[in-house]
Amino acid sequence: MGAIVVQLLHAALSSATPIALAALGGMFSYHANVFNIAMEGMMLMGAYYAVYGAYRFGHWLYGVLFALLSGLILAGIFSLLAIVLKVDEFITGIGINMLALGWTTYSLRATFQVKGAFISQTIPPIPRVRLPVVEKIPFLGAVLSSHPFLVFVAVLAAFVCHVVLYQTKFGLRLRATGEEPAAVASVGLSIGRLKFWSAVLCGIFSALAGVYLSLGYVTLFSENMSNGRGWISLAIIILVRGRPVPIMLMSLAFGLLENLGMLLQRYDVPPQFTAMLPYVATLFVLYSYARRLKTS
Amino acid sequence: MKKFLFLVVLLLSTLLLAKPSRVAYVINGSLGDQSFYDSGYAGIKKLEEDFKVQTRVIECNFDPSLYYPSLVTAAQWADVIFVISYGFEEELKQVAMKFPNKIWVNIDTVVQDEKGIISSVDYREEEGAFLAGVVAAMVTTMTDLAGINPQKIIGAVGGDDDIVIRSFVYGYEQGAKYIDPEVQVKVIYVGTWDDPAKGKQAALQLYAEGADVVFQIAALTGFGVLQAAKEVGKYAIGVDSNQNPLVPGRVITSDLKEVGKSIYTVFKMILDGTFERGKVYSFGVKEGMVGLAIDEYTRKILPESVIEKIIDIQNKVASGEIKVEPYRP
Repeated sequence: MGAIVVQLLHAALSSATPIALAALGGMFSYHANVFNIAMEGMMLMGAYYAVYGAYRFGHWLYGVLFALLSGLILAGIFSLLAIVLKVDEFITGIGINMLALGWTTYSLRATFQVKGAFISQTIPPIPRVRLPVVEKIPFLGAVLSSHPFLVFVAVLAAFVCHVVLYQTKFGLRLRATGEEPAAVASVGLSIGRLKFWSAVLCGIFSALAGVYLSLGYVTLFSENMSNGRGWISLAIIILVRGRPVPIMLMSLAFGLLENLGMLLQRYDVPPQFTAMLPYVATLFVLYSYARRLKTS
Repeated sequence: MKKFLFLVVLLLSTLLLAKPSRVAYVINGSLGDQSFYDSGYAGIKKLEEDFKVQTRVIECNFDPSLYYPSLVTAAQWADVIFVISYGFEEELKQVAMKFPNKIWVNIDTVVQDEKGIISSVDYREEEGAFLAGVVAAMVTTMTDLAGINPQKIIGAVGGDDDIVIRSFVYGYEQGAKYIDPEVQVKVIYVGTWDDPAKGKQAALQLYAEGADVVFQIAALTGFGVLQAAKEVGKYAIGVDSNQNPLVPGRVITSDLKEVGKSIYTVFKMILDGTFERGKVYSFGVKEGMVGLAIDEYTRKILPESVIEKIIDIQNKVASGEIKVEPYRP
């Protein structure tokens, strides 16, 4: 039983990481009042270029580099269309998501001459971290140890983002851009530029989520491997109103429920219901949260 | 008069059927799964080489709005249409009714229309899964092998909870019980076919529950299962095509479904006139359409004596000495 609980919590961290990273990225756009739904596409693109870079140049660092570049390019496209040219943000996001799916599927076939998935023993994964002291603690050690390092980056990032958002000049200006753009403009700051930076941050974080998927979680690329995680991250951002630490907690809850769902199949719960569990629970949280807000 | 007309139709249709020169391959999904659809595609390519026929592949990419027009396009162009029609069996019947002179061969499920136009190739996948269960149960009881725990537990990860996967699981369980009735089989249905990350998660959970071998029946999701085996130093079994080399030393064997070979066989029957319309062709281990991939990767993991025993059981399934019960929903 112990091993199962350890595995459950270990898995919850693994499942939560890509969602949390993408949500932390999307959070910046949320605060800048940019309705950015492109996390899904940015994540998928990041996942593809992570495998591309790592495989082509033989080191995971190249994977990260290429993924970040792809995230920046998509953020650039998004900014050009949605911020400079003022195209509808939602439509731009849909466009980017579709572009990412089509582009990665095509590139996979054109570059690696395979369809479906590219799997190879020579793709170098991102390193796993063994925590020196924590490792010795009986239960906790097993849960926290031997994760790819991006898991810890995600947890740390939640706190760093909190500080950036609420304690720095940049964070203040970013939130002001969302809440009262006229005030930002009145002190001579460029709203467009702040929105642009929010898109860039979204690109970076979402690309990292992609790296985690294709070089951390598993070591392969398969078509559409982001599989809706970007949308979940969007739901979480809106659910917790863009606060970084609750984003991390909600992602963890989501990861936990997803894996608990699989475990429940052992107790004759039909798999169709267990697959629903995270979503139903999210709706329930949303409902009770909104209710409490209304009565208080 | 009626008899005469019938004869004319029969004569005409045999004349028309005499030399099929165009073959279409219509699939509900898309090529690139590196197993099921691709195996069929390899068969189609082989027809092109060996019989100098023209071929065309129509992929529906799981888009239901494409099912009907794809079939019509195929029927207008081809003489023989091989179809993988999960989810559009009704459309297939309708279109076949409109083009009754074409040869329709549905693969992997049974589709029957009232007029007996459509033929089906039905796999006894429970036989292949039975053999996978045999291997898994043998390995989980070989406690001297690296990474094997004393518990007699094996697992399977299914892409979704549907009839085909259920019959896989049913056969797998029978195979395990054949070796050792105490072996426990644990299954997780992931609910998605293209999420390797979730597949890995499911497999890791099964390994944590004490399973030593996990059988993946989940297309792209299943790649994650193979990688999970590597991470924890346990074993996995591949599906549909030979996946042993994907994670060397961790994938013991693969449960093959020779879609390409069966397309080739059916087409040859069409050519030599033994093909029958409306018939259900049942292919299993005996016909060589279902079976295990045992190669040098298997030999690196298992000793020769065990492999001999597996092959012996495979022969017994082929000869009918061992009966595998099909799944009845």
